[in-house]
Amino acid sequence: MSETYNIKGQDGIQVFTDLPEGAQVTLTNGAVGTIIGNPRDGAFLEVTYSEHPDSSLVGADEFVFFNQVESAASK
Amino acid sequence: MANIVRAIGDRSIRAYIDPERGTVSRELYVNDDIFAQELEQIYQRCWLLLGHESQIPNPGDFVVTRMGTEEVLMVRDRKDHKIRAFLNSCRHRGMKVCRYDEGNTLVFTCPYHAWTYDTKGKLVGVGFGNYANAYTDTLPTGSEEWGLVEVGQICNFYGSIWATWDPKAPSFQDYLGPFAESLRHCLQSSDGEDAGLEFFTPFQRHRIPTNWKVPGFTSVTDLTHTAMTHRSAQAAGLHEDRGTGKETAKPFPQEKYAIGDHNLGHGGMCTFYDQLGVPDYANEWFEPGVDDYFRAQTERKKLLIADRIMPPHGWGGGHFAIFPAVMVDSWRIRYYHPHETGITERWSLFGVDKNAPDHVKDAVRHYAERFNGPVGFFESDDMENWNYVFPASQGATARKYDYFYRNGLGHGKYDDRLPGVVVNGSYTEEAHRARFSRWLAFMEAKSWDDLYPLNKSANHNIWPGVDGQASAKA
Amino acid sequence: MVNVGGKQTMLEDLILQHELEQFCYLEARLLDERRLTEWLDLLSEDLDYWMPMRRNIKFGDWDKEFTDHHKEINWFDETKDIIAGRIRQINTGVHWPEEPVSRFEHLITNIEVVSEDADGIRVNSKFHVYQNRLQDEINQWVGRREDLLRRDPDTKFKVVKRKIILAQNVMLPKVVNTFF
Ligand code: FES
Ligand SMILES: [Fe+2]
Repeated sequence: MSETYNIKGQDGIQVFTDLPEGAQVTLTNGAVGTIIGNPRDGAFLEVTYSEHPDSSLVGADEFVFFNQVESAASK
Repeated sequence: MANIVRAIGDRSIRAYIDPERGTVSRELYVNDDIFAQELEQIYQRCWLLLGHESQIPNPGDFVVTRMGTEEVLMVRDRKDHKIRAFLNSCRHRGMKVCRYDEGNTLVFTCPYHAWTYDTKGKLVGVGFGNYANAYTDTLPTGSEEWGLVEVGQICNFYGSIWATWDPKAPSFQDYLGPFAESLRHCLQSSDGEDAGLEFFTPFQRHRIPTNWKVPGFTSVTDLTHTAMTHRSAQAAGLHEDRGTGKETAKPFPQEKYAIGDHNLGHGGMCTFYDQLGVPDYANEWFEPGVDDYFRAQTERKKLLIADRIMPPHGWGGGHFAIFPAVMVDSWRIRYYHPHETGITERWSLFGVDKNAPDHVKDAVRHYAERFNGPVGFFESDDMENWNYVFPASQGATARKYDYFYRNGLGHGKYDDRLPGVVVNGSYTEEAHRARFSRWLAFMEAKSWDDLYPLNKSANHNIWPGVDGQASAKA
Repeated sequence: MVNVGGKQTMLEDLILQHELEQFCYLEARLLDERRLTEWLDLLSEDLDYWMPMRRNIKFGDWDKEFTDHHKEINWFDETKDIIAGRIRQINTGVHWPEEPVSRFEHLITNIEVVSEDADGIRVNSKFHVYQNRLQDEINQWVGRREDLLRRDPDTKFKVVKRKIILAQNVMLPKVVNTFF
């Protein structure tokens, strides 16, 4: 059962900061990735893309800014 | 620009030192123009101490340190585990990217517009990086150009970490010259194992309201200050000759000197040993069991170097400075950072044998806490003198009267045991004068090409009468 | 008003609060009147006097803020013997950062009785220490203390443990030559 993380609510900053490795994020551009690192700075997540509109980026790692993250859910 | 102090007229900077008279102008200590030039000519070029690898043992560990007036991040990369160092200033528009003293991190994220850098200093993300109407075709992420400013060179010397901004600087080993063995020796544990020390965290950091050269060019080399400055420390019962029932160890032939390398600027108090091996251990601790530990360690060290003469330093063997302002002995390593002409910050680390048992670590830590810094029995007296030198030298009258650095002038000699280093009586100001020879060389040099050891034909000794050799007077 | 231990009447609590306040003020007065050896008498033989360094930390990393009392470098980590040594040193008259002697004023406030048990009485307080020295040198230390005091027949209380929490990171005054 996957749990959705409420990253947009009032406690969203804390939820975002605490997102665990392995959680799935969907980005505003439609990309989907798995969190491989959370620097806990409330700003960035390091993700590996499993889907990306630019297919050359599938499998690549990138740091994504919080306003690119549409939603997050546990695996 | 380097050779002219504009505020004072048109005298070249060389005119502020009078080698024949053995004096140095107070302008060197109180003049803002000279201070600004030092930051360019000295702090941009010299090898400077960053800290010790034991402060950042794990991948992603970092500690904020300094190079002169600027903050630097010393980081262990989380992937290749190498130590790197970066200026703590965002490449976007200059905000500090890190405002914690130390920690463990994946990235350094700037709190201004969210440029974020990995532990190799690479720019790996920016806020609005995916917005076509923000960075459009100018996205700097991943480019070499917009990473954190990395030091020019970095060196791990038996666990101590050093860096220079100047890629043209000689290797750290060459920069140390004949002092390399002494520094290596100071970083050994008490049984003689290389890099056998760890350093207590964190840095002891404190302000001293004076010019950086007041402590930076004199402490550890200024034997004549000790009796008067530290007159009161004896009453505290925490003097260096601590411990009850101090044994009289077998005499171990040795010679004590003040030494200075006028081409490299390093120098200090120094012991040459005239016998192979290691002196007997003499009790010096109040705390039970600590002397037993150090005596056993000394016995191990004796076996290790039974057939060698120790390098010119050791417990009780004096201590020395690495130019411009790092102080080293066998239990401390510390540096003086200029902040402003009259404000200095000192950062210290205190070492202990990595493998020492807890009761020994406790005793060494307590001694370090109580001896050193603004709270230290011993050093609090230094602070007062270093402080009031500054206001009392600054006035229009005061600054016309030069400082005396003449003790032992003309009586130095070269000695085969430390090639290139001038050896002089232990209470002389030889080590101070060597700092000024080197200071002037840096202040006049256009680049490292003009400076020893890159330019081996340079003789920077400006003072007269060493061993009958000509000085480098213009 | 805290009913410490829940055993006492409110009047006893008030008296204790008053006595502890008087004790704190006495300490401050002895320090400011340069009666350091008399102040030393108010410290117990098994004193643990500790001023940790304080790091700049991330919100929530509370356990990383103070230096470890027993593993890291602290500003003060003292026994009574060590403090006695400091006082002997100041009293030599040749301890330069305190010669000529400074003008210290210790302001002690926010005195709160936390609890009393077999170990003693836990008291929190705050301090503002002002140092005026020579013509124009001013140093200040602001912070709080977490004390463990023990009742004593001679001096009413003795300080057994004192954790001094200074609101400072880099030590800005060049010398710390007083007690808190
Ligand atoms: S100054 Fe750092 S992101 Fe703008
Ligand atoms: Fe000193």
